Amino acid sequence: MRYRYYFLEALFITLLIFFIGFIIGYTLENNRNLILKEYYSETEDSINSLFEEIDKFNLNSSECETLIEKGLELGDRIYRQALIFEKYETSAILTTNHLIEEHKKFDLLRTLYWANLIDLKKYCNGGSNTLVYLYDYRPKKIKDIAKQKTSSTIASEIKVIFEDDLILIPIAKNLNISYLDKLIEMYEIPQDTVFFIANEEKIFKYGEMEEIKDYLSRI
Amino acid sequence: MEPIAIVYFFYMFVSLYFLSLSLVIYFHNRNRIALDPIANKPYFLSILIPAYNEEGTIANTIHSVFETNYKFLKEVIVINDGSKDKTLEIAKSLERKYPLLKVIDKKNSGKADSLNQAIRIVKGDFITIIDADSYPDKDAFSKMMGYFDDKKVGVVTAACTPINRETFLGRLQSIEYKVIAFTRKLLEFIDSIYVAPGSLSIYRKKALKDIGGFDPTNLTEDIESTWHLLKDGWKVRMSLSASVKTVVPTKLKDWWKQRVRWTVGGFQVIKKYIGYIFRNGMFGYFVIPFFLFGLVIGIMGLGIFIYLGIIKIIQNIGIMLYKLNSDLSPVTLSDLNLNPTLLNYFGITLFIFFLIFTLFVLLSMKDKSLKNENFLEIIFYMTLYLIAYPPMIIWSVYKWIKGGVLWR
Repeated sequence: MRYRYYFLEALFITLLIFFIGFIIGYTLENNRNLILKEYYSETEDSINSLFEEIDKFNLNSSECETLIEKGLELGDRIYRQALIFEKYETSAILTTNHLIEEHKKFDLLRTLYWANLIDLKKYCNGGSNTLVYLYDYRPKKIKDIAKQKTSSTIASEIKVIFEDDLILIPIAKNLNISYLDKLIEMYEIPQDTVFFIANEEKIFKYGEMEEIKDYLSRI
Repeated sequence: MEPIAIVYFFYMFVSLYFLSLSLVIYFHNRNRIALDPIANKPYFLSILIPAYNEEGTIANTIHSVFETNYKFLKEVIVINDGSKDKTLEIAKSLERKYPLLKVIDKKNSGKADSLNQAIRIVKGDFITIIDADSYPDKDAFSKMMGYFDDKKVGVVTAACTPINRETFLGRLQSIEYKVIAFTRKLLEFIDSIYVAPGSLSIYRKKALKDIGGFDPTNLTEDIESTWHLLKDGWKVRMSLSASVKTVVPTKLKDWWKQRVRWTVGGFQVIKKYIGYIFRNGMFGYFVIPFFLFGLVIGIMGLGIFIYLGIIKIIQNIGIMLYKLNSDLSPVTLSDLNLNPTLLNYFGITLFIFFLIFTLFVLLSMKDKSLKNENFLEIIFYMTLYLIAYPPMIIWSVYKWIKGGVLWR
């Protein structure tokens, strides 16, 4: 059949356009992932260095002040990176599986950062308040999605209000990060906890924005 | 990759494939697309104009037929299908002016039956069917008749364009009809023209008699007769340069009703000829699967779209309620994700491809209206059809099922 060539040529053109599209798309997403990788290694180095510093015994007050300052800067960076990560994640199509792994790595890093801050608080007896936002990674039910979206907004708004006086640490609690599970166990944090103010071990459930604000203003 | 992303990519792939196919066919046949063969011998032509309540247009249709330059006109028969208005009187009043004009009056029995009754008495070997609200160009018949030199050609059709473009809907249909005419001509090169529309088509009498005339049970007798001819191995041809102007609906309600009728007629022919799938050459290997596939993916796509839309709406309402409950603003700028995904890029690229194709078609057909129509209208036309067609299919399925009981 002479028309067969028309159909085959059209198929070839379509496949070619799709192939080019996928290559461009993959490159684009991969570039975003490389940015995230850079963020990861930068943050990992900063956290390790903070760890080493805190591990020194008998920190004097000026050393404490420097470390608290460093911790705060790192917190801000981690929060900004988390926002970028979220943006890239919602836009990813071809590299979603890879991003789940990356997300887990970032959450582990944030958990380590949280642990660092607990130690810093212990040794230096000061520093900014930390608000740990414990969320579910990719909730399935519509109700949970809606609730979580609200909680995210609350977290962001509180961060805007308290600026440098608050370190916001968002961590997904359902990615099987054993170190996070240990901390949750240690502080006896209930399963449905959304916001946890680590230094006072104060727990808040969903939707308690005013209470969190009041509490943070008082301490 | 998420399953839904795979579904989206599948839809884009199919759309792009058909666009590529159109372009491939065009580039292989671009030198032949506007050429019409010149008839080697005289072909005597009988013209049938079925009319039902066409008092506003019938006279102009008759005038335009007699104003054509075709020399071998045998007769023009107006079949008044029990009109309740003055169609009959107007047609009769023109009999004295045009000696070749005959007016038949009969009880209302539908267009197909009217044509079948007239076919029995025609004298010419070729039968032109013209809707009573359509006006062929002066040289339309001359340009079409040459195709009948090929003895296997059963029907030849022309490019149909709206005459009433003053309304917005009229202008949109003007663009649509041009695109349809162009793509229909392309389908000729793969022997897959699936309809010779009633606005103007010329049939070989032998072919029409072989298939037993028009099917009165079908809502779109022109699609049915074309499919029947294809099934029996007759060729369907089209003259892109032969033009017929027709009156198109200018009210959305009428337009919708017309399209639903066409779609339901399409379902009827699919049902009638589904048994010939993957048989009888291009008819079974392309025309039937093309129609069926379009129908299935149209309904499926709409189903997915509605499902995802409802989920999204419920989700957003939930978010807003929870936010209000927590004294938060229900909508914030941060809710917008302005980071485009690969799917967005593909979608936009595909839309641009189709836009370029539409512009190319309009330019190829030297559409004067293109100068008057602004670019936004073309974009609006594409968007409207993209949005309107899937619900129309669903509504047509409903009407088909509902109407099926009545038509028995």
